[in-house]
Amino acid sequence: MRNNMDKYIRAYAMPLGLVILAILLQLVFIKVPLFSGLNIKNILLETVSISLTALGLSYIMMSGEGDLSFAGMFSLLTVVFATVSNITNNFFLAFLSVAVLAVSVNLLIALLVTQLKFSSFIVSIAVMFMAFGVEKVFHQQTTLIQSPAIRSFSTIEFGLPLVVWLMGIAYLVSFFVITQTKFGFSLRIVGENKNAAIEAGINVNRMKITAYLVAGLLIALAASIESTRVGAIYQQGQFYMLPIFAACYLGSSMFVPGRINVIGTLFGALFMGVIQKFMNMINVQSDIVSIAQGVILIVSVGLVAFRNRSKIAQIKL
Amino acid sequence: MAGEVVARIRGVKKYFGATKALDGVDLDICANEVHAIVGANGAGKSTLMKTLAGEHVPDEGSFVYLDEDITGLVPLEIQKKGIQVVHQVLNIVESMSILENILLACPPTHGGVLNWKEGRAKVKETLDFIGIDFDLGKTAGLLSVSEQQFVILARALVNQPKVLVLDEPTSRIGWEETEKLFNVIRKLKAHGTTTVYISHRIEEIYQICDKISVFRDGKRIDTRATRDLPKDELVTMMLGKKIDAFFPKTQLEAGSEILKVTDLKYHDRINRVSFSVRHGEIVSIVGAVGAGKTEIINAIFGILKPEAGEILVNGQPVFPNHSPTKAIQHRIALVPEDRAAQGMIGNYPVKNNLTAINMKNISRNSLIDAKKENILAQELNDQLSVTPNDINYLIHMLSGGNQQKVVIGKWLADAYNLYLLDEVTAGVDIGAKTEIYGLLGELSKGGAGVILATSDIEEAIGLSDRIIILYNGRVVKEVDPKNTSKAEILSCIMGDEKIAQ
Repeated sequence: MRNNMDKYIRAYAMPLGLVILAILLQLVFIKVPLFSGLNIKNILLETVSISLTALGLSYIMMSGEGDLSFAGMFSLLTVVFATVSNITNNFFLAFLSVAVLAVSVNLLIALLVTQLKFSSFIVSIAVMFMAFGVEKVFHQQTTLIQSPAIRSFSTIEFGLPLVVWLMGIAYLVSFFVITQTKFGFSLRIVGENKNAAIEAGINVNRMKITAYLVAGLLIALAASIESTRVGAIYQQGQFYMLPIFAACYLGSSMFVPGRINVIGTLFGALFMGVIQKFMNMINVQSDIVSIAQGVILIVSVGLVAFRNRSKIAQIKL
Repeated sequence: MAGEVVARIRGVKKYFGATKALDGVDLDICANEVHAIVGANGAGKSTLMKTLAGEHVPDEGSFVYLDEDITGLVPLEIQKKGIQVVHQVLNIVESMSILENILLACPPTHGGVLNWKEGRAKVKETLDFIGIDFDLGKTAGLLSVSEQQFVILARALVNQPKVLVLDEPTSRIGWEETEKLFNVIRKLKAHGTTTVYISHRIEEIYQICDKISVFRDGKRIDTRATRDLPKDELVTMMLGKKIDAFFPKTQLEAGSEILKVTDLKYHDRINRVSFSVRHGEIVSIVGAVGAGKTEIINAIFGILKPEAGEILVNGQPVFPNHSPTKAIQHRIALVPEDRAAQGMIGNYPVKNNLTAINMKNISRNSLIDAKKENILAQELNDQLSVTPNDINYLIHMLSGGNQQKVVIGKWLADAYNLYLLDEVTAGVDIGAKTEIYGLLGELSKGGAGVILATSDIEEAIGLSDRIIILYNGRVVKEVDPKNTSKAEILSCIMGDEKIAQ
């Protein structure tokens, strides 16, 4: 019984901490209405692209690889979305072009990683800088999305904004796929113990490639939503690198320490959203924001290491 | 005894570069038999097993299973046909539950959606068959190694294979578990499942196997019924030569006390353990898996920090602030239990593995002298007769016995006072074993003390001057191997208090 309690407390320490922290912030900064209805909606709206990209990254990490390309790709994709939508005035064409680009780049990375055994970390860093570079070559200044119809995409609401529903669906489907299907089970085995996966007859490379492709789709969706929400595009990706990483790592401190999981990533992303919103509201400078996010990332990695240490001690001796 | 032929291997050849791993192997595996595959390290046993599993496609030859040519099928297809291989390496997914681990390859699904309820029933059935009870939701990483071995066994049995291949299944489990495993094998035989049993432990093979196929240099030398093949003939066949003295007989007077352990305590793993070792003495520590052998060795080497107790090396206390670095300064050498994780630098050449702890001997002003390094490594390599005799060979490419020789060999460049050897002959073939035994004899002749932690009782009796028997972290008894029988030691290990007193 005590063990069970302990298990639940460990699993839900992170979301619990999140709620307590939010309440504390609200109490300290009593004048800032952090949790008004409007604000909650805004936080959700602003978190959509972070959480979708973090979900994509989670797929890649669950397959046992790492990725950094998303930061650069996010920037590039938003610019491509803005440009195509200005040319065609069509949301779906813009989304399609972004999706094709993101999926093909991720396919390329996946092939390099699985077929030629390149380090995913290094390849994705290279892709990140290349994407930043390509973006800067073509777009020195802010690109505005002209079409009001496209700009209003993120304001469509059914109780909650449509894009928040989309995010919810993406997470629900992912949760189901990862925990309840053979595909998800196999993907997790590949990430946890590659040799066991090979012995179990799982096609490791195919799993990894699929994870990259799903991630590509999710980042394309995230970048499109971000573009319509912001309207004026200028180097969107650079501020998202830290919160997206932090979301995944914070999430991995839930349940089994160090294991990336869908629910954890969602909580991690929401947590980062709340923190960011709060810092915006009390007018913290953006440099300080990134320092704070860095601290959160280190703390979350530290949490995993700390919890793993006790686990390792248990196993080894 | 033997039924019809289930699997027929004909003329299988497999090359790795210029090395012939399998050189035209013919082998028939029949229904309802327990078939032992024996051979020295590098004889081709593992390659043959990987061929059976579909992990290697033979360069030549055919593999026919139930009148169907299955040469070149991928592992999953071969598993589906009913051939399951349990590898020596336990590929447990540590963060997943026991249930998930057992159903790794074949989770029951309905339209791609997992059905754990059905899986749970299937797994329960298999575990009942094995005669073991697990809390299926428990994380597999928290299990002991011998429990993990049974998880892997259940993983293979859950699909009711017709042929089960076991590669060194007892190298990590204790005697009680071995008995349990043998019961499973007997039960499988009664149910018509053939077991192919690969092991270095000749005793076990004579206990459980009906037939023995002996391999040497990639060829099958002979297959015989177990009762028609005496042990010494088997050993001669395996090695291609006769071994005269298996255990070196070294009788010498023990010198002064080199190690004194008093009241050592570490949680419930080491419980008030005291003993001593003299110069020139070989002392064995025997006990079941989990009895505390490795913990004691690790405490002496400074890896594990005990709660209480004292360790004196040459009369000097090692606590406080004991550490492996200090242990080496006290001239203590360690050959750890887990060779791959602690004993060797896997992806490095033999050369570096031999010289890594001997940097002083091969460097001047903190700079490594490549010439000296090569000379030292070559000397040690020759002394140990590591095959192939190539100091630039990557250590993880060597066979288990040769790896172990290198791991021991790094301590031979300098004189050490005390050698701690933890399961030093696990997974090592009988030829290399004899060489290692000879080496231990040399070391003790040179005046060093040797502590041999082992689960091999014959080894303990044959080699040591004294045997310390552990049960649940306590020293139950200290015996003289000359006038103690194997059965006596065994019952002490099993915790039979009456005999112990």
